[in-house]
Amino acid sequence: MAESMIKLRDELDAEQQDFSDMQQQHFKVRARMALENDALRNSFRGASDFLMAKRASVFPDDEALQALRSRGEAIRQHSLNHLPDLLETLEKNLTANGIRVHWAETADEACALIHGILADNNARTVVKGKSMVSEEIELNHYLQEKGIECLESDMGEYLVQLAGETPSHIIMPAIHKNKEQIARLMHGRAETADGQGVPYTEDVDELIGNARAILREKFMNADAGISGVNMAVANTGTLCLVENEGNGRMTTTVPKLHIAVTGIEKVVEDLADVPELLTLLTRSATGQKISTYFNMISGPKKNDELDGPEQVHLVLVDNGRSRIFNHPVLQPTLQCIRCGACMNHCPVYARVGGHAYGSTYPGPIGQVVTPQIGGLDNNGDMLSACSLNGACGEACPVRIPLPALIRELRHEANHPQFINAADADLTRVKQRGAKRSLGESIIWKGWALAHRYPPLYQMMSRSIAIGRGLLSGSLGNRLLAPWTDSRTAPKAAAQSLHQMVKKRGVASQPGQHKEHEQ
Amino acid sequence: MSSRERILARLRQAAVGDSPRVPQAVSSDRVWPAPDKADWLDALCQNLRDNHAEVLLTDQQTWMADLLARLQKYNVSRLLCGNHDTAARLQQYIQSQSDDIDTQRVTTDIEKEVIFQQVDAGFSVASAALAETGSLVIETGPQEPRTVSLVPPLNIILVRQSQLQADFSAWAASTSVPDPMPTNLLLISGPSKTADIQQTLAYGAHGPKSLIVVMLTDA
Ligand code: SF4
Repeated sequence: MAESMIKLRDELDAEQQDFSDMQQQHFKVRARMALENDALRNSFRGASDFLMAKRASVFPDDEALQALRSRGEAIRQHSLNHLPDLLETLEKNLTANGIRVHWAETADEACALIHGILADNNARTVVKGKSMVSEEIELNHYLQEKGIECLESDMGEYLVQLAGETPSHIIMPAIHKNKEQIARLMHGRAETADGQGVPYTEDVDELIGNARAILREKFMNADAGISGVNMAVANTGTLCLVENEGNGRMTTTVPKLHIAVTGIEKVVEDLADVPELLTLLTRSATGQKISTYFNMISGPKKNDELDGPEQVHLVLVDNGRSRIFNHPVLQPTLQCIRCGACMNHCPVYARVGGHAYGSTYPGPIGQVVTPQIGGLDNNGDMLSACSLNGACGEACPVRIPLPALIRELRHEANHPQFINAADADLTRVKQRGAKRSLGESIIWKGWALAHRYPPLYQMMSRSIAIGRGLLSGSLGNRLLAPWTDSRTAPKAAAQSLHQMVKKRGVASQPGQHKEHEQ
Repeated sequence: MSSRERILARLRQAAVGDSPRVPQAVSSDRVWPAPDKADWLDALCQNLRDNHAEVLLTDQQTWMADLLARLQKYNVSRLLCGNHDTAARLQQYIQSQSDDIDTQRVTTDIEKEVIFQQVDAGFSVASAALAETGSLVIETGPQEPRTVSLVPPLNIILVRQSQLQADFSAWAASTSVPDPMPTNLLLISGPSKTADIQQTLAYGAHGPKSLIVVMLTDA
């Protein structure tokens, strides 16, 4: 091997190690590391600007957009309001169409089910279409341990897998990498079926061409294909997949065995519900009127058909969704159609990027989903990465009130009454109260009190004004550290607004205080 | 209790709202503007071209000659067709006009090596087209195998102007929807593509690099 190749491979290995080290860090450390990485910030800034502009260009008429969003919301809410019935109808119609349906309560059960189907069919090589649920249940890892090779075939996912990383965006998985990084990665690690490497190139068409050649070989020979599902139509027993590349069609068409995996919330009642959700999805995600392919699967190959999979399975995954469904405020989480618009519009996501969140789903929807699936103790920290500016809620095509849900989760995280993960009360988030600290709650109690009693408030603001020198000194620094570690310290004014107004001779209005004293 | 029963029981335990079915969005009460009937053809062609497809505006009399010229320009030497009458006529025509193009209709199970490695182009027939998005509706089945419009580098789809509809909603509400659904129903709106490397668009990600739409106009 040429010396330069050995060097390149060493570098790629080191980068992969850096990545997994970074993943072990605390959320705040990861966020800081991301903020200090200029290349990464450029990638995310560029991608967010690009995707926001694309979306805006296909929604020229705001009135029509708002009306369409309302319909999207209504369709998703209707589906959720009838969720258990629709799932049963779906199962009945899929079964009648020859698609076998399986139910999994947990991630592990889903992985085991999928492995069981593969094992029954002696499938050793698997190609995968894009599926966030399979990332959520960590299917690749599970199958790898069982000796089954699971190759990602979406271009972005393929590159991310080649690098030994995880997706940083739900629609554009390799958004964090630039052309040069991908060129090095392909040259250093990609291999054709006969063990040949690919030449170094930064030309995007050539890079895609090289990956295409490698992956087509894999599609042709794979024993099984695993895909996600964008919508499942109950009345017709149809699985719908949205994609541009054709890898989803390859995965669901060429191998003898197709296993689709999806969350239980993805069902809609009728074909009539599909067009508007589809248009909302593609326009919000990538600014396309429609994706290149919309693939509707209603059964395996029939006897008189000449191609297509002989078996189709659907694995319905709960993994915490039925708990979300029971929460009185957080249920709309399940309206999500996974378009990614909330992350594209999030000023925090644009700066820290997808990996800082350390979860399968990053950005606003990730902040809402992840703590609910994994519990607030393990995943509650990311809730602080939100300024409640509201951009995500305005972009969401199905009107999920994301900022309100993030606030609700913050309340749950700080709830005085802790519950553990196994708590049988489904109307509460797992590990509620896990982020509550005594110090913080005392401070907030005092803060609330001061705002209720004007004399107390004035005393507080005066003492802050007097002690402001102290606050910016080293003692103050230490005292305020939990706040100022990742924020600029607030500067107290020498005089409060009250004092200044009084000095100017503006008298307080009669009765003003009374009102507050109750 | 099985996982299925436990999941369903938990879902049934939840308080849900009671919303009526969302009425289907049909022509008059649509909130999303669809093109006027007079503009359907133009809209379809424009959208397809925007998505990097080539549109061959032709008619019942000359389409086979027009298509043959395109095939020669693309240097196609092996063309794979579905198993319908249109394909049979195309095959006959090409055989009578050219020795360079081997046209095959698939009548037995498709061999993967052949379609992946030897075929240059696949010919499919659409059952409808959607103006608003520039989409072709393909109903796969014994006549129309799934891989013909997927694996070969050049994808050719024939459609008639009379099959045009305003958009997907209109199609879904029309009698064109097959019942029962075919095992695989597709909307195709361009050649396969990706923007996964630094948002740079590249065609021919996994499937066809090019799409030619043969549009038989009414005139
Ligand atoms: S929450 Fe809304 S904007 Fe975010 S991914 Fe889901 S549907 Fe899209």
